[in-house]
Amino acid sequence: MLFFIYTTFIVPATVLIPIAYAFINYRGLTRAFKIILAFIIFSAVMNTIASVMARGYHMRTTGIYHIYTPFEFGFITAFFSEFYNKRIRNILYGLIAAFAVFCVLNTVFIESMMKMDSNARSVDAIILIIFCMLFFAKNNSDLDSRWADHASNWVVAGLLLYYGSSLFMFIFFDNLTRDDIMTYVIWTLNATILVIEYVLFAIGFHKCKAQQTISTSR
Amino acid sequence: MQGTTDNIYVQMILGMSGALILVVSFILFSIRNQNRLLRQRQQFQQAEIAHQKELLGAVIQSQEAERKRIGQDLHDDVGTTLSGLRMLIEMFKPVDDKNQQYLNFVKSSKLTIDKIVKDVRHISHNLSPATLGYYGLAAAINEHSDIINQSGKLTINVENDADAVLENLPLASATALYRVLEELLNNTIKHSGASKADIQFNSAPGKLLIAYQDNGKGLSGSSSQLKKGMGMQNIESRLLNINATYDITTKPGEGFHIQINCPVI
Repeated sequence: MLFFIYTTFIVPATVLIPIAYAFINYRGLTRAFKIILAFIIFSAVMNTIASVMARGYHMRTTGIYHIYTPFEFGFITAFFSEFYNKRIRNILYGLIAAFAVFCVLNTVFIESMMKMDSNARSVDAIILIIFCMLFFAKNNSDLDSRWADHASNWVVAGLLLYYGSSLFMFIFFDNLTRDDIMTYVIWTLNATILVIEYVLFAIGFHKCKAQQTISTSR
Repeated sequence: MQGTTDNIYVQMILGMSGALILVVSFILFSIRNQNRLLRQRQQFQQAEIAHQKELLGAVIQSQEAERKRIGQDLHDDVGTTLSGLRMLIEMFKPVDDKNQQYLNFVKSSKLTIDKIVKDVRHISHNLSPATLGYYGLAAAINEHSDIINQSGKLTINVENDADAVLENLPLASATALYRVLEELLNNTIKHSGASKADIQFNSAPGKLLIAYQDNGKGLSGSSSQLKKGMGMQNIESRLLNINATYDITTKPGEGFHIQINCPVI
């Protein structure tokens, strides 16, 4: 019962924290942060649909993941592309298209809609972990301000935390459709990491406050 | 089969926990590393600023010494020689000392010499006000204000409520503040079209507060635009050198106001 309340109501509700912070500081959001906001809203909608299907109509929701994964990859890669020049940005857009094709082929030929898209999600997570690492490698040489003052650092930390920790889960994703206590433990662990990710996103949005104007005093 | 599945679950939990620890550690190390590098850079920048300040102090000091030397030379050498020349002209007696041409020549020569002496004294005073060294900042500013008041260009009102602090003010700080006020008065006369300026000396614990205000046309623009002017840059570098801070308040049509806070030991 506790597991049900936690994963069905509490964790999905925490998505409202970053959304609220994003709208409070909306004027200060850059394009990258607006993409992340769109991703969070998309995630919330897909989660709600999956919850209603599973809890309300007792339908199988594995198909939702097949749709969700390429969009998730698209949003997050588009977020990272905002930190690079036009050439790299175009390469990343190409990667989004290639990954979408890969997801379709995976669904048609390897993992059907009736199974979890373990392959696609694992590849998705590995690529996003690489992006996070590259981002930190690039940002570590920026010594103009403290780590915590960079709003994007918080968002990328949230992404790295979630995809790094959940990679093992994605690899063995198909085992998680069984109804036993160990499955609940793993889903609870995953849900908790998701909450941490949302809190880190919220901090990132909070750091996006519009800059104050400087007075004439020294 | 059940045993194999349980084993996979345990491995998944271990894998997820291990990855979580790794990621958290990576992020924490990354933060620590970046903050350490940032601290090092800030220390380096502070050392560089201190060095620049030392250089600026040396430049200002040598500039003041040079001004003092030129001022003294002008006052002592040129002033004395001119006085001697005046006396020579007075002492010279031609055969016909009632000659109108001769009397005109003596009169105009003496007038010219008097004007040169006055100008030399003025220049010498501007280069190095002797009053500053002998009687302190307030007296030097009063003297400078009197000269400007006499010229009729501007009416300056000086109020001093910080006698104790001003008496103990080091000469370097007094000179810097004198130059700043001189520059401010110069700006008011040249650019503001003001008829009145107020200078007020006040004290606070460990601080000398100077408020300067004119009733001129004021200034528009941001603080960076204000600082672009040569005069303002001089004021900023002089104040920086004595660790003083300032706050400018100005708007078009509302005059110019600057509040200077100078730390005193």
